[in-house]
Amino acid sequence: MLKKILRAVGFMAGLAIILATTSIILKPKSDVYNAVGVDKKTKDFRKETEQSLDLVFFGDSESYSAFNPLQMYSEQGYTSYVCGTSLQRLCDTYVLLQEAYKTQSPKVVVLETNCFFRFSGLAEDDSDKVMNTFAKVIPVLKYHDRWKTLVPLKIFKHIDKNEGLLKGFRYRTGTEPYNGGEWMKKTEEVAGTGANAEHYLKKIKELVESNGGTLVLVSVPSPDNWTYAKHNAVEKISEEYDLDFLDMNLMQDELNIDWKTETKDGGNHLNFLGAKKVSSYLAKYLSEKYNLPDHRDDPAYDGWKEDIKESGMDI
Amino acid sequence: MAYHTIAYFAVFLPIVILLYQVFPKKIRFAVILAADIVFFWLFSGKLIIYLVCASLLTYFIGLWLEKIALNPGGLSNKLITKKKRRVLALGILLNLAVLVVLKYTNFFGQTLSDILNVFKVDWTYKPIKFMIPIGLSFYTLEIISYLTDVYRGTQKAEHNFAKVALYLSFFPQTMEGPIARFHETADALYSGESIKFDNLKFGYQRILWGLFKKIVVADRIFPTVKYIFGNYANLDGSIALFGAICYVTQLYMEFSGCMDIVIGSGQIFGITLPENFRQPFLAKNAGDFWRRWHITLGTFFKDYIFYPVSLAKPVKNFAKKVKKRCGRNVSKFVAPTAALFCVWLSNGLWHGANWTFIFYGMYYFVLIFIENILEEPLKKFTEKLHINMESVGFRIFRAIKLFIIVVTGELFFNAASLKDGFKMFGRIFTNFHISELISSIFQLKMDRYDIPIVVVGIILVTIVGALKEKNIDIRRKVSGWVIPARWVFWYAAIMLVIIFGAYGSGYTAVDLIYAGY
Repeated sequence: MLKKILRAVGFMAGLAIILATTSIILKPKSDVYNAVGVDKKTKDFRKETEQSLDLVFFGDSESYSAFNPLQMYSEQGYTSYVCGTSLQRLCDTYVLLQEAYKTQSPKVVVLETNCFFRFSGLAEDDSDKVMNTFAKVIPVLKYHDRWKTLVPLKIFKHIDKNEGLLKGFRYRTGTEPYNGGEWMKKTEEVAGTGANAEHYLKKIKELVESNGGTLVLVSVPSPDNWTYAKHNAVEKISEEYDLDFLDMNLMQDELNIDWKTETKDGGNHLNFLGAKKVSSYLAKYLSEKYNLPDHRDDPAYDGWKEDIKESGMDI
Repeated sequence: MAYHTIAYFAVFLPIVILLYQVFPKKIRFAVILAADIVFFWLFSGKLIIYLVCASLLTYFIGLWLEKIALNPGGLSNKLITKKKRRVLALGILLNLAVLVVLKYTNFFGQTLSDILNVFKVDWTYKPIKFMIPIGLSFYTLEIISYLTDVYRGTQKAEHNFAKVALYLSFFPQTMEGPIARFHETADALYSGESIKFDNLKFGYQRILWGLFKKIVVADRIFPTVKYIFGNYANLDGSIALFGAICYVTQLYMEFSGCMDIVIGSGQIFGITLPENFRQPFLAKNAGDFWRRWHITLGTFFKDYIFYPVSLAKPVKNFAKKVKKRCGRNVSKFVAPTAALFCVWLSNGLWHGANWTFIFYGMYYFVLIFIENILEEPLKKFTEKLHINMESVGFRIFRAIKLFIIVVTGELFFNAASLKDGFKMFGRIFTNFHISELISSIFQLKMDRYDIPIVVVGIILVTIVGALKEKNIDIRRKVSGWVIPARWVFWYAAIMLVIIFGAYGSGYTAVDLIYAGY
């Protein structure tokens, strides 16, 4: 029996060494929450020609469903990229922004504000507390999916349209109508932001300004995610930090989004048709307000025209 | 704390194992019972009262049945049987009533409302929100099997309430079965035998295999299935078909994987739970498929519905009448067909209160009925044409035919409504362009890293299944290897699940499908 116990202890010790080693390999160097999302985005972003972007977008899925850089280039001539990642927390935004400044010097940085209402630091969500506790001791449990960004997989690359081509925008064609009616009912109520949100916002603002850029807050129309109380919260923050804030949820007349056909999933995200309206309005607004350059006649940017052609998007 | 969560296999189960082993043999059953209560409570809280009442009712009805048999009080055999039958009916109906009220009230109410509306009666049913205890559908069937066996005399009525409670509430079986018989688990659960090192080792190895199927393969496919079934109306028929195939894969990997975890958990305590799957896709036909898929449900229906119905007097009398009018060749199908109909109606309804499930049941009723009728003519036909039914070619043809049958059935099973099921099915035939599937394969919620993982997972499960069919058990084989090779194998297996599992940030936790039935 003793022999069996010793053998079991030996097996577990070996497993502990393997877990520790894989944890070291897979744990990212920066403090990020969605490590895979940040890795993938960083990898794609680095493919952009150095010092070629005038503007960079950040945010969660709201951002990459609504902001279409190719359309914005086509209509106003400036270049942009969406560094939005799924369920982005502001700690991820900060790391991605640091990455962005390694190769680009965007004049304007746009931050979609839905992520203000999510916990902004590294602490885990509440979905599986036991797993989160284990992951603190065995980081490979949290970062296991990073194998996707560490293993170069070349097969099927030619048919994977998601990668790179659309400058971070996701071309979403699905339609599920939103039938809920008006969602921006005026109130004095102020929604509470996620813990640490302001801490990271301050760091993001400092980083943008130290690089000579301007940070702009934008909220994409989303009946499912947005409320007037959230608007009040972001407005208060924008005043406190002296930031421009454009809440497109209050611009229903200007945007004229048809919520029966222009949302992907019942008012949560916009589909391509909704994104087209938002991108068109925002492209003009940002161009005029921040005097962004027009590169459409510059042959150095002809690659953008080719990307538009290759994307096959009706823009 | 579902079985595939770390909270179960790395916290709850080890604690129970430790406590079980620490306590003296005589009270180990109490450790299991306490674990059952905690497990049930974590899912259903106060609804545990349903399980407690059901256990008490089952216990007393069992004793009552025994009392009638042992103390007939001068009654004739006929009257004893009649009395016992009434007591059995009382026990079954009281338990079934709870199941029917909690699970089917809204379905029946809505159906009635729809029928009345057809006749222009203005009455709308307002759904009631019922709180359903976990595992209700599973333990109700176990109650029926125990009481019926006591009634039949094939099982002695249990005088120890703890055994009845243990049988109905063993925590690994709570969520998805398997539906065991009293004699299969009750005594072993009560005996409190020490945990054997080999049982612990083999039990956890089987749990690991289940985790591989569930979190590496099934959970990775889940977003694709959800997306395609939710958006089929805007997608090509080829994608709809791909979605149905993905669902079959997900369901098999998930349910059989969960069973591996459950059976492995039981094995640790020395409890041999019945197997629920036996390489179903190697079946010869639809009937054989159901002898290999959710086996314990199939055998329950066979023993407690098929045989009683086919041997029931009215059915026999009707068969006699048919024999007189139409001859033996027709009458021989009467009793089995009537019983088969009841089995498949029950099977459909057991899965849930939705027309899709009833359709699913009737779909298999029709298929198996046809198989039964054509069995003999087909045999003669193939013999005449000298077709070797065991040749590779014929077996491939049979496997493809079965796969089409299963995919079609599961498409309706998983559809939101029967209307959706027909529309999605129709799209496969009216709007099918394989190029659409190829060009959009990575827009279907699995990226180009996910798909190879799923494919490799399916290949691995297929190989293990094929070897099992030939009675080759990989775990036993590996246990015969020298220690370094053995350890490398298990380290690789553990890391495979940890690295390639679809869990944590970026993934949605996927509930166990059958826990909802």
